[in-house]
Amino acid sequence: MALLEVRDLVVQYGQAVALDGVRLEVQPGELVTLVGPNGAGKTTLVKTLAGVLRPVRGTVQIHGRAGFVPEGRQLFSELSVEDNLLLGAWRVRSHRPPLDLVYEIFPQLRSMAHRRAGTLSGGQQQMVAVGRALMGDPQLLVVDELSLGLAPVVVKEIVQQITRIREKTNLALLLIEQNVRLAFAWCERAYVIEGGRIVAEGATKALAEQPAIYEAFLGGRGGAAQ
Amino acid sequence: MSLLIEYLVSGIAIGCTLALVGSGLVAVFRVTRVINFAAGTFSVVAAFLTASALQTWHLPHGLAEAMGVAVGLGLGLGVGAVALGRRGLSPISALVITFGLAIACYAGELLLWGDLPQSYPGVPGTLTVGKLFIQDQNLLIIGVTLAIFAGIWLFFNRTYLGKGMTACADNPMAAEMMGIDVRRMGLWAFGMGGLLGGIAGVLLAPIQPMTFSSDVNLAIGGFAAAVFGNLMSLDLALLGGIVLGVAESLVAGYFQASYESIVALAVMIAVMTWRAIQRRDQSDVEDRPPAPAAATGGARALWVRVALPLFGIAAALAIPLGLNQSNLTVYITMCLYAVITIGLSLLMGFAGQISAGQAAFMAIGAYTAALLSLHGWPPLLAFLAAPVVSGLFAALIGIPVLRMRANYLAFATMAIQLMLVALLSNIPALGGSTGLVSIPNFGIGSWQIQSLRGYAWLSVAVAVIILFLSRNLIASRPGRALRALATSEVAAESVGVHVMRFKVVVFAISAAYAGLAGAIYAFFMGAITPDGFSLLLSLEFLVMVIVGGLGTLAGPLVGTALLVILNQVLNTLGTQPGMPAYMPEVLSYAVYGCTLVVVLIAFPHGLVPFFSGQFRRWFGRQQQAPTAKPVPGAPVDVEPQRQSWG
Repeated sequence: MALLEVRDLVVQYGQAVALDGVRLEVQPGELVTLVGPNGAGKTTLVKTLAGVLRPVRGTVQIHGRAGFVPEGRQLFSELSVEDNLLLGAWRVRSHRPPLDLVYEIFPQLRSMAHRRAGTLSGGQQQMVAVGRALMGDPQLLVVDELSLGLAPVVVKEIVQQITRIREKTNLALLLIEQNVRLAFAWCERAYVIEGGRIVAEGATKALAEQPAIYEAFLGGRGGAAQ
Repeated sequence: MSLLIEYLVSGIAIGCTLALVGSGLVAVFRVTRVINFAAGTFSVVAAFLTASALQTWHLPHGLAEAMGVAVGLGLGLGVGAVALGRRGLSPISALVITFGLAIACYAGELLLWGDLPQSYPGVPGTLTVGKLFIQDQNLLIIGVTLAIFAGIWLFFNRTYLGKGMTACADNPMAAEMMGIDVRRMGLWAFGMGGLLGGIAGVLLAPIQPMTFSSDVNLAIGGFAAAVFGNLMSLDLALLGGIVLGVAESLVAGYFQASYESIVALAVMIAVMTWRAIQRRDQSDVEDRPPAPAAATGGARALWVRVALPLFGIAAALAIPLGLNQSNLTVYITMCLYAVITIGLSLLMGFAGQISAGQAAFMAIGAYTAALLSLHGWPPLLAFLAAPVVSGLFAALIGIPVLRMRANYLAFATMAIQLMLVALLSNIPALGGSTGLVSIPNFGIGSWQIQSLRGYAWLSVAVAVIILFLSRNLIASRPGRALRALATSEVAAESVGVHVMRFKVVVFAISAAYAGLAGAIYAFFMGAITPDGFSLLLSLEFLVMVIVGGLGTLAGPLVGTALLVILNQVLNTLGTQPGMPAYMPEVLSYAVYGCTLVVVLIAFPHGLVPFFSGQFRRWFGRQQQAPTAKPVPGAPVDVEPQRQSWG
């Protein structure tokens, strides 16, 4: 059974259709990426998966727990790093939230546990956001724009740490990325979204060889990918 | 010396109750970003119910108080459920809803308990230290308050639920992604506000008898206390409450009891000014106005732009010819109110700020014109001075208050409203509570307006001029800045619009309009009293604008016409034989309060935008309709965006 099943999803903002019949699946332990230009509906999809937006039609089924890393980190900036992490476990209401696990993955967070999250640097904030999503002990991690605005070395570290966790658990990943090179290098399967519709899907290797995709995302016209 | 200490102790006790109300405001604001105008209502209803339980049902102490507090809690949850009921309602709309509910509660309170002050014995006995007498009730209040503050501090800072609630305020979207039910948390916060307000009321009633309208002073006091901590910090709210209570107690002891709202306002303004200087207001609360103001213009047909207004003016000028004396009075009222509501619509629609004290600015204009002309100024000069004085006064208040991002103006204007009526009634030079009489007629040189019809024409002419001034203001370059302001303050700031200055200017303009209407009112009536400019009148203006539609010019006109007529009907109903003297008030409160709530929930943009939208839909005229093609990735609460940048 698929971990995440999205069927015929339609989401509107008033009259404007943002997602138009989106279908998407993530199997347990799978690495999937969703790429597409600005305004294609990527973040809308994440918000709908998280239950922040309500679909007009269609269904989202998550057979298990999902953790979300929203676009732009979205930390609780007035609360401490530790409080941010603890609130990530809200859904599971665990009595012993895996704080130490997160501190093990991102050791530098331990020393700033009591600092206000708003005072952290962008990279540290992204670590808190990833850590917060991991606190709910998810089987699916949804990451919206992991690399946006971060130095390559920081991105590399976070990617490494997520990979390390995946070695221990069967964590599946749905990565929404503008940096298509990174996404295609990391993930096995990809969906391409444009204008609220899924226009292509398949193994990342096969997709990268399609001329249209290569043009649009991996060079050619430039633009979306560096 | 002992007197001073007694004042201090009772001041601290009263301050504690204000701090409790204030902490309720903080709890609600922290979680929902809504400023809860009904904060004082919880106290009043809790106190009333306790009084009934003790005196009518003869229940024992303890049980009666518990019942009162429980009702406060229930009322808090009820207000929260209505204010947060509709998804995507902006904090400013929710604020007006709480205001409407508070007003609607007046009607219930009057019907159930009448308009006499209610009180009951608290803890008997006094503590005697030498020549010092301190009521035990005061000590009880202080003790309970400290214990409660310790409790809520622990709740917010040490418990998981408390942190979850704080997270909702901090970043609602992220909170929802973590699975926190933001609206349920908001509801709990309102319940907490009700609980705290109820406790305050039950504690306060034995030392300060309460009437149905005590809630206004409590809410303003609580708000002033909460402002100390920028509506976020509980400990500063406690400190603020105590400072305020002591100040009020000293003023009441050594000067005049009725000046307490002046103290609250002065403290509020002082704290805000200080905060503005410190630039400590770092919270990025951006309260969007309920509706981005509708753009004027667009490519409309010539007949719409020229013929229709001309026809309207001709009709407006012709109407007085066909009216009898009493209808002329209604017509004049309508025109004057329209001038005021157009200003209020600009303020609410474009600056996203609410004034709950427009009647006060009308009063300033009326008194300015009356005093000057009584002192021998030519009526025309007195008439022109009125809007200037009102506008300057507003600017003076607006500069510190509007620096704050959150909607503090609503409370500040309400405080101005109360303060002004209190001041006017107490200053002999301004006629005291009998007001000013034998104000000369309006005239220019030797020509004087002698008839009602003359005043009708004057009013309608002023209304038309104001309408055109406002229309041109919106269409001008500053107007474009205003429209930018209505859509997003941050965005407006980023393209170089000086947000604060514009807000102050719009506030001053709206006050000047009210002053102008007040001046005509003074000349037309020939006599004015402080009671003529009540909070109820300010409320009516608010209802008119919200019913009609914010940020439009047609909205306030329609709203005003509807409400003035409705007012006549309510007055006729309320003054039927056999009704208690306060019946007209009950009806007004109930109808206006409920109207505010219903309109904001059912037609959040007001009637005029709603029906003009329907009209377009029915007749297929897609003028400036929102783009129907996919605009993915747009912000969550997309409103029809207008591209009105340079």
